[in-house]
Amino acid sequence: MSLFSGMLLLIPLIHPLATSIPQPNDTFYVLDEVGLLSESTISTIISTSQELQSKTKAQIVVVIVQSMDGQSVETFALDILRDWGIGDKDLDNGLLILLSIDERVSRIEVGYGLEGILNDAKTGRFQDTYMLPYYTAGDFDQGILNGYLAFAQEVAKEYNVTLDINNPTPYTETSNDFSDVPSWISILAIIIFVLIIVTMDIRFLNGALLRLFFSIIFSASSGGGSFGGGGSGGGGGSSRRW
Amino acid sequence: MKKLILPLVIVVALVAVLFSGYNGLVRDEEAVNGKWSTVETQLQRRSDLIPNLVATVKGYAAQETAIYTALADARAKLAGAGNIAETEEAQADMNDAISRLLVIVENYPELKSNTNFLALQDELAGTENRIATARTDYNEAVQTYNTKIKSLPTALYAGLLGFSPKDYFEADENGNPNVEF
Repeated sequence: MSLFSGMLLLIPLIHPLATSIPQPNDTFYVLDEVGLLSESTISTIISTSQELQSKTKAQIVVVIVQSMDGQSVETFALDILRDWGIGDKDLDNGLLILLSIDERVSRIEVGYGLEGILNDAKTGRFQDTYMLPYYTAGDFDQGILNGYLAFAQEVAKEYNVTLDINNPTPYTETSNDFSDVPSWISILAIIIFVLIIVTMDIRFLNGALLRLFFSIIFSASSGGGSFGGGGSGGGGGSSRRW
Repeated sequence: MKKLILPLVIVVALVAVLFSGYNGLVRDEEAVNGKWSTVETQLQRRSDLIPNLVATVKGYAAQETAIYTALADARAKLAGAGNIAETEEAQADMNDAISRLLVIVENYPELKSNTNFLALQDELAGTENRIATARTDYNEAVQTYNTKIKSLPTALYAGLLGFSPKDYFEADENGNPNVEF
């Protein structure tokens, strides 16, 4: 009996599997479940993060959720950082900017590799200086953008690279950039061709081709999408409430 | 000669299983040791924050001598701790002392808005979080290791090879208050 009650004490100290944290979307760098960010902010974050990643392997991700469903912000943020693998696998240079609206909490979660330049005190100071005043005024878009740029510049400084922040390269939505626009006949021919293939696939192959097609589409995407580099963290960072 | 082949094959197979089982246990045990080491590192990190914290608070609340003594004693006890039980006890004392200090700070609004103190507060909170994370990681490593030792076929030879189950990190059973902000 005492062994059982002893085990009960362990429950908060062992992580449950598959906790309800959000999953990354195609862009990886911005997940705004509440719709607070403007298109311009989103595209700035994505293009800057992509640039930072290609120059330094460091990844900065922004996540905004409506609620954390009872989880503590520290656990929630660390779970996202580790589960998504933010930052490079060997360098662990990931940074997560998290906002949860219902609980009115903001947290910066820092990967092992960035703890040197972004210690807890500095992340707290950045939040106080660049982000919180905007949140209190209800302008989350500016708060996130401002804070993001500050962190991005700090990371870039550490790696001695310059980021194109003031003139961000606009984010292109998809990789389907058709350089020649096919004429309407070609379009019609393509549609008919695809319909024939799909019909025959369903009839003779039980849709095997379709399944293969969808599995390719939804797995690793080439060029347009991004991923976590496999980085991890140990709980460094700071939290703020507004 | 032919009669020996089958027994020989069986022996070789058993040795192979034993080898790979043993190596797996070594790896899992080292993972546990590594995670424990991280817990200790983070606890040390917290201890290292204390002098700076005390110096900052003293600037505004010099008369609260009792708590400064308590903190200094906790640090000394930690430095002098010889085994795990003593370390745990010293850590509990430190937990207590830090909590009391933060309660005292509430009475000094100027201190609370001092930039140095704010920075230290963030560092302390971050360190507490790292300790909690390190403990959770440790427990997960112990879970993996203990499960391995207790499952077949490993359970059959783990004891013989010198591997015994490890203890989990238990939550503050003495009702030790965790530092909260």
